[in-house]
Amino acid sequence: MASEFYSTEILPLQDKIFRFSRRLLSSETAAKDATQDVLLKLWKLRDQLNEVKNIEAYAMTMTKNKCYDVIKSKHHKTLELVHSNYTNESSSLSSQIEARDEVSLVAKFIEALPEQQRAVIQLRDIEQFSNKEIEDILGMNSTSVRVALSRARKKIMSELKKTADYGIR
Amino acid sequence: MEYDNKYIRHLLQLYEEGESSLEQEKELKAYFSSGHYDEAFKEYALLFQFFEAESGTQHPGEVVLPKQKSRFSWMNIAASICIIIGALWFYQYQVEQEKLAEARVAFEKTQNALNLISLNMNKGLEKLEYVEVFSEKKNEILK
Repeated sequence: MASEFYSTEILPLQDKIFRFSRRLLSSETAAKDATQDVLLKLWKLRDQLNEVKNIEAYAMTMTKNKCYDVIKSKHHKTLELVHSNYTNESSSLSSQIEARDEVSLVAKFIEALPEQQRAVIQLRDIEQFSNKEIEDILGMNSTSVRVALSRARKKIMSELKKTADYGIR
Repeated sequence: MEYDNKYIRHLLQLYEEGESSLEQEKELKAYFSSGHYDEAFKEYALLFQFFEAESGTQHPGEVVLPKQKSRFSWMNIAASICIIIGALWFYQYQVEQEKLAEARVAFEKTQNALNLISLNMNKGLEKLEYVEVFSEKKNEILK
């Protein structure tokens, strides 16, 4: 049964889908919406999912596409962007406190990375996909996956070492 | 499990170059989440601890899926239509029965009234017999 397959194979992926979209969209609310959309799309396709070889990678590809669409459409909504900047400023105190938390410091550095590097780091270091899977999901070749991964890791580490040297903690 | 610093350094180097395998990265994760890592690697510890914590994040929303459309929903619709039709029919039947009962009551009332009239009429008729006898006698005498 397709719906049974959906609840055993797809629903457990919702956390991964959520984490990936949150990494790409940098917003909890937007990530929740994206997750819901992706799960709904998978639900509509549930009859054909049996034929998909790597369902996890398939779901991740779908999530990536969804998030890129959201990001694209967001660039048109300048008004909304201004608004979100404003709320960020107002909560500067809480973000200051947050920045002291060493672990969320890492989150901040990852956030500062280019989109593609963020995606690669998320898929490899958090979700532990193989390089081959990442190539398929992001549509990159093996060299560019490795390069993006290396750049992202080096960048995060240099930032981390910098803060440690300055003693800002 | 005891780790040699040199080995860890080697793994970290591979890691930064993007050359490490998933297994080697798992080893690094295990090493840093054990809590017994060398102070020299404390920045790396932050990174791997973050990854570890992050991979446990759960989707806070609830998944809303469209209601499953199957034979059952059609059967439900059919059943409710049947029930509605049945209820309507029963209602109409009830109304008709009430009308019939009212008509019967009215009929009985009229019948009673008519009976009463005819009874009184008969009483009147009895009195008329005297008149008849009187006129007979009168005719005999006048002949």
